[in-house]
Amino acid sequence: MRHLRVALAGNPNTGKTTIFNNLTGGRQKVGNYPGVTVEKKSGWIQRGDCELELVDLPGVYSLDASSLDQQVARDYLLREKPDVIVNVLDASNLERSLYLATQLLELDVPMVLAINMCDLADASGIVSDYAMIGDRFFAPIICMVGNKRTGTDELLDAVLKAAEQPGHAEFALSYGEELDAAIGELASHMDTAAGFRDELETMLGAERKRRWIAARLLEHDSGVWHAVGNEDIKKKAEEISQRLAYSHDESPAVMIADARYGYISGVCMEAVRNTVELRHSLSDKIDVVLTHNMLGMPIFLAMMYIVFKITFSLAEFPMRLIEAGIGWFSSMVSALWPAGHMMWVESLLVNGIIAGVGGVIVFLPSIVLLFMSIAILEHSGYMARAAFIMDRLMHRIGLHGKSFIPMIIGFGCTVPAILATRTLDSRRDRLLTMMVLPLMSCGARFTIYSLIIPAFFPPSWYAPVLWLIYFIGIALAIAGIKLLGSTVFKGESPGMVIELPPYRMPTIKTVFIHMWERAWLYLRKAGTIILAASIVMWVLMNYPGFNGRKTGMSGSEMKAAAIENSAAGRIGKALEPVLSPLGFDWRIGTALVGTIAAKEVFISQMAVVLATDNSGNGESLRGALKRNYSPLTGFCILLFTLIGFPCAATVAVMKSESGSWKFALLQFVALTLVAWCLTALAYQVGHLIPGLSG
Amino acid sequence: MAKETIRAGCGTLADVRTSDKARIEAFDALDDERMRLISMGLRRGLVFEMKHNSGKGPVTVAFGNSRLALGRSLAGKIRVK
Repeated sequence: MRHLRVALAGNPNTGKTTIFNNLTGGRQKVGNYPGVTVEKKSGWIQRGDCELELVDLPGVYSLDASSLDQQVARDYLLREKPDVIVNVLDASNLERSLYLATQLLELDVPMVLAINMCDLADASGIVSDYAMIGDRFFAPIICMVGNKRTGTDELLDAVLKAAEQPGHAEFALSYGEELDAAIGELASHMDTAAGFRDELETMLGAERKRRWIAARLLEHDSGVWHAVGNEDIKKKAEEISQRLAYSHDESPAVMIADARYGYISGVCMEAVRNTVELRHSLSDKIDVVLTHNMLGMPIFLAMMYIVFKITFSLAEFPMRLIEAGIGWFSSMVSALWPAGHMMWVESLLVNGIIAGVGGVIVFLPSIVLLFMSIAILEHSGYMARAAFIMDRLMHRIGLHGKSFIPMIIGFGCTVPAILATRTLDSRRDRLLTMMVLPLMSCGARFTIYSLIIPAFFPPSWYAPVLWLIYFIGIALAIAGIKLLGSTVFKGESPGMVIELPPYRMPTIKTVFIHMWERAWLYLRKAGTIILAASIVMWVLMNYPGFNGRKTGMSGSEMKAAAIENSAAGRIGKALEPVLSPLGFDWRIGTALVGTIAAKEVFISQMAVVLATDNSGNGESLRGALKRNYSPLTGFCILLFTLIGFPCAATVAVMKSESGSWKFALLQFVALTLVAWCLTALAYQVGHLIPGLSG
Repeated sequence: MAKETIRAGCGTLADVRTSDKARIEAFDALDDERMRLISMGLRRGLVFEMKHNSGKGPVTVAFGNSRLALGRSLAGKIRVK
């Protein structure tokens, strides 16, 4: 069987992912942390005697390695050298889309141009001679309507056919006489440089044409510049590039870009006819309202309110069903267990595993709904508007609006939010944004809030307390950016430029795939980390057992003594001096330590500790919490879980994305210290107010 | 091609008023900022329409079917006519 690797490349918002989903159906590997495509994603399909591996690359405007998502796409194309590139273009935005095509064309890989959203272009009066465009770009061209699934089969046929044909090696885009001559000069210099041929082979994975490398060196392309080790060649490149810049008052990079657009304009002039004048589209009309100076912000806040309202109210019923189901299952196991036989296994099952994992699975509906909302915000095009609206505010704290998008994603999960910072244009902005992202209350924290708030506060307080917690997180993030931006990460952020894609109705399939990925990850977490943590917790609670029998001890006294004597009890007791200023006892302390593995562990941990603690069966976790703690302690739990102990996944991603343990550890320690100080302050002040701690 | 009402004189993109059209003449931006603008379609000679410029905060420009939002400081580095 033949094996082909096919890369999907294209600008953001061209519907690339929709086409990828159409091609692969459900048969794609779910990435570890789905969200915006900032990481490549693979899917496999079979077609005839051929197995195709499809790789969805991050949406990029060019192959310059200025931001990290572009680097991911570029590295894949250069190093892994796929068999075919499918370049997805936006039919109503051809000129801009083709810029990337001119760069892909030079990679010597067979290319297929997939023109997406042909129906929209037709409707807006753009008439294009696609055959001619294909001709000029030496690539077969397929018209597609991704969200109606048209063109998928034709695209696959074209890919298979293109794979059999050799690359368009004869094609070399002319950058104009003078530049071409300069590139030729540098290329021939490479020939004479000692050993450079061998270096070429190793440094970019596959042998690149000298002309391509010479052009990139003149452009000062940072990737190629760093890959070339030969100082002599770099010196020559610098010399030529300065000479050109001097005589044209423009850097070679801009001259080459102009030449690319020159070629594109030439093709489009012949092939594309705009029969209708540029006009105000529906999107523009919506934008007049949504990005309005005065209205924009209130509308944004209202939108966020609706998101959480949906998450809370729609999730309530399915959550109750799941809770009842787990309760039923748990009592079935207890009832059917043969009395007196291996009671420890029964206890492990009911008080450890079912209580722990079940307590977390209950929150699946709200997680799914939260991610559905975020997917809709993202795929409808509103996310970019949020960045626009927030730009003025973000500017005041030394970042720009684009940093706000990872923050919104952070309300779902910190890990994809950290990955989403790859779209930011400078390392300073990336690090600064990453550092404060854990302060955005993520979905896992949300489950803690939705456990704690109804346990301690009357219904009319639910919404205000929840908002207060989210607000505290945001306020701390702002303070953090201010502080770090003027100390550790000094400097200015580069100017913001962001595309405002036309508003689109998100397809059910896209939203569903997004939801499904999240649900699956959540269940996987429940079945692995949380299962393991529940078992560990149960063992710590039950061993070593209590043997010192004393006469006159009642059953509950015995039980209390046993817990105090257990490993968890001893650890908790050791931590007590640190915890007591926060109003936490050893049980909350052990649960908080558990949140380092994953935030949800707090819930399962409390379920295990309290279930073992109380003898009355059937009491809900919320009831047990209410009976044991005061509302003030409840609020302190909210505060500490919001700020302290970023989860293990966050620490790991911080390390890999920032490139060093330094920032991951700095973040962990700083946040935990701030959490301790603020929670202690809240508890000590709250304690003075009568009625709160009762 | 859309009708052009190019305003006399030379200013920056940040000075173009809502619904006015202008042509990009040159960039004062840094090299990588400039390449990013170019790759997103804001190239020399492009005629665009200002969609949103409230005098404060970011601006939105339109060309073809693209709508790009630019931070005010970046917009101030693009010379237009």
